[in-house]
Amino acid sequence: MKNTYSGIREQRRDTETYTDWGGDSFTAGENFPKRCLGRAERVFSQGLQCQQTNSVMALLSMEDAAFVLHSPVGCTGCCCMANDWFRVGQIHRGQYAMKNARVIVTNLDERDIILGGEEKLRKAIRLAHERYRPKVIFIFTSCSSGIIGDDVEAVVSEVSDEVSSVLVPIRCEGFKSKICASGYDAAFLAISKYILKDVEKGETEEDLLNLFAPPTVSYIDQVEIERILGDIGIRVNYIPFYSSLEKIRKIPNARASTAICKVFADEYMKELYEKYGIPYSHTIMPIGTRNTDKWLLGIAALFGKTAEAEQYIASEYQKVRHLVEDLRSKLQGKSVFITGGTGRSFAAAALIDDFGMKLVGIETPVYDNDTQGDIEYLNKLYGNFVVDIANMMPYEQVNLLNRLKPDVFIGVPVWAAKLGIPTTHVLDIKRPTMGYRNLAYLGSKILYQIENPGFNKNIAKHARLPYKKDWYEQDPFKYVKRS
Amino acid sequence: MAKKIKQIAIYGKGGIGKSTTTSNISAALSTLGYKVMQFGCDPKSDSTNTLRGGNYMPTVLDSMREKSVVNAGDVIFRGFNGIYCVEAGGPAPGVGCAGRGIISAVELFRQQRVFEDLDLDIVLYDVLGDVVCGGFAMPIREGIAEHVFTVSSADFMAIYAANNLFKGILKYSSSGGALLGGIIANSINKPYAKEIIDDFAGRTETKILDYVPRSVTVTQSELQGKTTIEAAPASEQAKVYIRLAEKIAAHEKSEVPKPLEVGDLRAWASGWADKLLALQSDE
Repeated sequence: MKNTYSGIREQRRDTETYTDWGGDSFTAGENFPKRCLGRAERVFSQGLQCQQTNSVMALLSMEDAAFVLHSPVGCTGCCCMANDWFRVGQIHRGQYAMKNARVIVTNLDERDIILGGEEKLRKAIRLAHERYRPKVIFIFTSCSSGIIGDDVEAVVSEVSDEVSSVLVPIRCEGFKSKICASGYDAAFLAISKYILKDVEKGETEEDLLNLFAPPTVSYIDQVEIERILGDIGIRVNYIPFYSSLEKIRKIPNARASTAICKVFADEYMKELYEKYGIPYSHTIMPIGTRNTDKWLLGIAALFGKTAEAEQYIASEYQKVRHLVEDLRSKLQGKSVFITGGTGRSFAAAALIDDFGMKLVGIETPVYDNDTQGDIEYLNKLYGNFVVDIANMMPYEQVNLLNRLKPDVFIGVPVWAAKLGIPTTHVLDIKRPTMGYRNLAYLGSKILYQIENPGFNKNIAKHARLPYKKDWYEQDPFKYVKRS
Repeated sequence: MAKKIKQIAIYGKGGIGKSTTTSNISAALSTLGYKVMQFGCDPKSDSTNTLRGGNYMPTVLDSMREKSVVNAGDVIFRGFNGIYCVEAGGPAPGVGCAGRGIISAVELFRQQRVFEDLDLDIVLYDVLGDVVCGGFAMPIREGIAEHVFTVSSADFMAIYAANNLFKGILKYSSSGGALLGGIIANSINKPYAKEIIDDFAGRTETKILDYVPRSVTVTQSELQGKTTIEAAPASEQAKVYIRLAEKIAAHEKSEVPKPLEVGDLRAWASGWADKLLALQSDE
């Protein structure tokens, strides 16, 4: 990563990356390896996600940090969601004296855009240091400071002599990539360059695992994951969510690395392998029994604990078996459409097999080598299903849902609910989703929605989606044009 | 009914004589009795120098740097024959965004209705001509200048810049932007220079407003910090500028230019290169 990866996901060299495509899973699975999936672009697009949001989200819960956004004030809007998670997460962790993340914005205005905003950045960093005395200050660039070319690195190197905090500038201009996970990569590139640059690998702690967790993992999921790993004798360095500078600095001492989400720190773990020789496991998100098994076995192999893990999995499965079987008896054969981030949507797609449900369509923001593996696996489980490579294109989604008429929709429910379809999601940041014990909660949630569809049906009666009737008869991928 | 203020943008590649020509047109227009403002849209902020005895003056952006609210009146200065001079200015080299500076400065004047209050007849925008970004296209967007003239020599790089400008005009032409008044052919002394620029005008379906010869009088005047109109009003060169000013004052109808595609422009230029080589070997 250090010399080869730019932090822009579309530019990764070891995989083709598609962000705009629509078709079926057999065609995708067959054509992608031959490099003939077909480059295309949406000529009509309803929304994308900003990378600054993801960079901020990845780090905002670090307890000994302060944050400077070098941007107009509006960009701080991207901190609201992450700050909310941070606050709730504190309560869940028993930190009742709840606090907000410490954010300062340079508030770039018309004048700064014309004359340059470096002076304001200098002031903001000094202020963050003076006010909070944090161990580390993360500095996020923005579209506007990126366009005018403010030399953030130069300001950082100049101010770093005056302050005791470690200064970490993150290049996360929102326009750089269509793939929001590039924002996560930008954060890790910066951690590597500014926090770990002079950290030598200490003595390896043989039972320690770097567990890269995105901020979307609930505390109860963290506890479950740590329990599972603890049960087979693996200690966790949980980073960067709710972590600290000290925990980040410990990264090089771990025996192995893994991530909870497939698109989180995946590139960074490669660098850790190249730089420190730390092996990593990159499998799937631990949602559902099969996925959790796979995820755990991937890690166990790196610690020489495969046999132990297999035994453990069998015993854990015995504990939840009656729950899974009960759910399966009620959910068997129900059809599902799934949308979400790349990690969660494919994890959910494999999860529903636990309950005997059938996948009819999936929306994923990205298709790359990783996705290919998932698609091949799902093709075997479900046969042919619809694949929409899109980041929340509601117009395509409602068209597809209207055609496929799934029994349940898993994902952001806003539009599907208005079609009267039972909805739930797997990106439930404050609730249980992962591992063995939390599986039942997720299954019950799906079942509850199917058994109680009244709310969405009523919404559908009274709410109207903004599309004309004839749109539902047109090709859902009409606006995906081959380039 | 309020009179219509004639707003004209003059573009040209840097160093081609655009500010010299604009300042002389301003000076000539004012001697013809018009109330004129020259608005320099170049971060170097030297457009109106020769109207003001070679002196620099505070720019709109200098003022913006110092205070949060800028009063347009504070950045208008009087030059030769009462001409109103404004320089948009720009950030220090290498920082910020000069293009956004032009947008801000022009917007400021529009919002404060300065041109109406001063009862101007003509406003001339003198703009850095490569139209490198949206900011430098500001004066040709809807509701600012109505006519654009480009100063170009027969030098190919200047013609490339003119062709780029035509692309900019074409882009905004359908949304009420400025149209092209014509080309002011500058430093045209040799016959082949005239042929080249005429040929380019023909191919892009544009007009040559006038030919301005290269003249030592211009240099002498500039060294005194003056326009030719001020320093040598009786000279031949001054007459050329007066004639040009009269044409601009009388100009009513501008048109959409037809810029050449990059490939066509290159082919056209290499065709001329061959002809010029042949000419040289004849000499």
